[in-house]
Amino acid sequence: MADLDPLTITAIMFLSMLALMAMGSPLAWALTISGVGSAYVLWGPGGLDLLVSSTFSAMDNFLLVALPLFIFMGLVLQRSGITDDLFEMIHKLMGGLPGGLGVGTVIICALIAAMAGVSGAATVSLGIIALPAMLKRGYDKKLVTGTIMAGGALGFLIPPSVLMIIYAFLSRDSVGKLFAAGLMPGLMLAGIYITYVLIRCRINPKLGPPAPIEERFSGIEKLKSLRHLIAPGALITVVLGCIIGGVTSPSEASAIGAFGSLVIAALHGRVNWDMLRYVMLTTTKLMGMLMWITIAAVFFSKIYVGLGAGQIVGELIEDFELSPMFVILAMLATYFVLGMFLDDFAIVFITVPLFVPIVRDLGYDTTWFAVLFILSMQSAYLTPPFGYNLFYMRSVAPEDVTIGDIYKAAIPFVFLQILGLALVVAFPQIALWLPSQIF
Amino acid sequence: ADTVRIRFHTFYGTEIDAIADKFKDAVKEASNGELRIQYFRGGELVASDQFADAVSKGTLDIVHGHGGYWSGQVDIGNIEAGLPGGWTSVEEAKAFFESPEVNALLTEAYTDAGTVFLGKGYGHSYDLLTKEPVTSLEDLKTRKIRATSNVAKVLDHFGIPTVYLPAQELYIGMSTGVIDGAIYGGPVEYEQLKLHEAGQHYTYLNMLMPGWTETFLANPESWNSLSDEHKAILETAIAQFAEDIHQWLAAGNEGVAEGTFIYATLPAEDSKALTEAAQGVWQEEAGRSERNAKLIEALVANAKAQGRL
Amino acid sequence: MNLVTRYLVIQDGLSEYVGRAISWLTLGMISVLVLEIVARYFLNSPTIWAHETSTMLYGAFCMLAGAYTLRHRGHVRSEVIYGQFGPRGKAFCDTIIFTLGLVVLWIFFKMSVEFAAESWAVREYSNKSIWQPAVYPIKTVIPVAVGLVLLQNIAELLRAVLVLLGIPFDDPRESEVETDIDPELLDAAKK
Ligand code: NA
Ligand code: NA
Repeated sequence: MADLDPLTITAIMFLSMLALMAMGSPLAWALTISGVGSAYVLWGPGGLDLLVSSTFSAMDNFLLVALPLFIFMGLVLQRSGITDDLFEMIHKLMGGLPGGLGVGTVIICALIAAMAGVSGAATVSLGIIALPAMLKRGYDKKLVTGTIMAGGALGFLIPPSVLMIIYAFLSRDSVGKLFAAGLMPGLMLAGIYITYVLIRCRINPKLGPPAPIEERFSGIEKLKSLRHLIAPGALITVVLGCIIGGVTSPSEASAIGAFGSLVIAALHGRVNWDMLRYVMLTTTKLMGMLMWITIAAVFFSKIYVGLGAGQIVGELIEDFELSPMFVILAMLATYFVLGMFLDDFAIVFITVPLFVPIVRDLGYDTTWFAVLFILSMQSAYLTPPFGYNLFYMRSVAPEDVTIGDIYKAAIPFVFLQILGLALVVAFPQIALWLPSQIF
Repeated sequence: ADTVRIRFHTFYGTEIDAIADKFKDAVKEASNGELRIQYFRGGELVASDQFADAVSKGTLDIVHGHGGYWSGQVDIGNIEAGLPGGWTSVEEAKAFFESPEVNALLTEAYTDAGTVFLGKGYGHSYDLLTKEPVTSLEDLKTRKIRATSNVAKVLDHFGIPTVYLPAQELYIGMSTGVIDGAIYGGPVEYEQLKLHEAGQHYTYLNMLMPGWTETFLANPESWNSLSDEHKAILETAIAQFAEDIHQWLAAGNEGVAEGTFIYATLPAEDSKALTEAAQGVWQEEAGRSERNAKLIEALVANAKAQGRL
Repeated sequence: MNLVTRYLVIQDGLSEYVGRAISWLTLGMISVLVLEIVARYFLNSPTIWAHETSTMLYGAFCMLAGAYTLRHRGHVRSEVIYGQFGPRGKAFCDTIIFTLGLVVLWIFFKMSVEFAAESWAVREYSNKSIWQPAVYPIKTVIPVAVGLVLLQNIAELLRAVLVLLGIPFDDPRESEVETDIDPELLDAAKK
């Protein structure tokens, strides 16, 4: 075996991977090619064998069964008609308030986030249902597109969360604990968005005009509209109750959730062959992507660690006597920058094996760091050039909402997300209180 | 001379870091820096249940695991890891494994699996931790216990439901009630997983002591490329490493702070019933191969000599 | 239809067929786990096989899905720089990537065949629970899945090479629009 210093190994592996990615290589290909090349040149055939053993480890993990099922559930909910109901409800309940529909939009986002494991479900369906309705009532287009994009990103923070499951798989944290830790920060962020919308509309009521008197509803009608909360409420209670209450494993809860979402869609008369086929095939496509990245990234990081380069960041910290908090902030800054260019799954797979052992060595709670990571990924969804929710919004927004509008709409919400992140950095209890109460 | 790097992978996590540091230093010093251990903790490079495969292929040079991890691939794995009722003290287990007959069977089995059998280490307590007190096996029939295959089979014999959960899910599983108890290790392991916050009742099963044995395997090619001097250095250092772990477990189990657990012992007739029920598992293992039949024969002979059968 | 087009139709069709077939496994996983929950909480008799069965369904499903994802250009890539190139520039990059991919997948394939063969040779079984199912079938899925991705990778490489060399051909995939958004919802947005 060639004896190379960790810095050279790091340079070879990461530069070749990044070069391939710049050439538009699928991430899974870039990681595997660079991993196999490094293993072959620096390690020998024995190292290559890690490719197969990483594959089997990724296949043979009961925890990960929850991934396809939460994705399946999110896709069904998107088509289930639940968003139409919820929007009708907030329209009746809150239409009379200045900015009321904006506030209601955030609430719907949080509700959908508590059912779906992925971000995007809420952005797409609210972009289609709530956005035109709010624009028609004279809401400011930047305020509402921003609200929908930021609210939609809550899907990964409020449990259940596919991203947290992958994080837990890589860091060997408990999924239930991460889910519990994400709940309060998720609600806090939703609260921040609501406050922001209310303040903006208080200062300038033209941004979110209240419904005219003739479009307001009686107390009875308002009360009746609450029935739309029954189905989502039941699904949230069962799925989150099962996981956080420990009734079932997260994987079993995901099956209940997927089944429950089908029931809800059936009650709305939305289950048909066409819908089922779309959901099944899209789940297949997404899981093929996730699985092959999982294998490639686990393999890549094992080659990196096995070549003895894993300690390089740790040594750097020691050599420069960096303060632990500085290290955490540097990691979060890295996340922010990576979030501008990379997909959140790419980021979790590349950074968790490198960062988490350091966070642990510095004496920080890895559950807390998991929440910081997910909070950083909230911004990744909104920062150009690569941001899923920007892209979703552009696809579904009416034509008079330009791409420039969408980018500008995101800016204040990115600042609000950074504010939320700063609060959790300063007060770890926001994340850690709930898990400490339950477990 | 060139430095030789040995990729050494254990199944333990950070808890034995101090022992590992001593081991690495010992190898380095005894070889004047010519031999270096590149040490990997559980799960860092290869999942523990793929150790045998990884060491035979040369991904790793030496692995430190236990037979249960590779029992699907190496016939004797389950038996040598420890079957319920197998032995009752470290001395007995050592004498059993050091007998020429048993040693030859292990060497043969691991050679067939494409590895070099370097030696054994001995675990420690392996008992039941539950949320509620346990006074008899009867108590367990309404509770869900986390156990792995051989122990699970014995419990199944008594109609006690078992489930499998990975170690990192034990804490939440127990604090939320997915499981009512676990058979995973001794007081020191339970304390490390913070399980005492979820359940305090530690029940000695008197089923197997040490509750598991550990095995060191090397890749034939990298092992044979070492000089005799280096082989000797490694063998000595590994034996010391194994002994240090055993002593650390023993001291740890002794040293768990008073009040952490409430200790109880399963009634003697229940322990006896467990051991008898385990005979079914022994015979099942014996049926897997001729070699297994021979090893079980030796285990039965030992149990008879000790007056337990 | 010329030879190239016919080959592409067949290869894309193979990946499509496998993807559609395995997509049913999603319903399989849901059924197995819901059954387990019913058995455990309502019939008070947990199964010994549900967890490992659902895990095996998961493993087989996700591995085999790889070729379908590639056929639908669904493997995540960053287009920040790549997106700036013209068609020939993109084809140049793709040629390099899928050539390297071919080599790497071939190595992966050979190793996984050996991995599965060894499992068959010892009739390997799982030791996690008292069920102790055979492991060699699920290990056999790996070479099959890698082989399917390898085949689709060849089709991707051929497309890139033809574009790079400026050889005209009918790409059966040309008219397909890949979108991350539910087409029915997208239609609703357009209205
Ligand atoms: Na969620
Ligand atoms: Na971004």
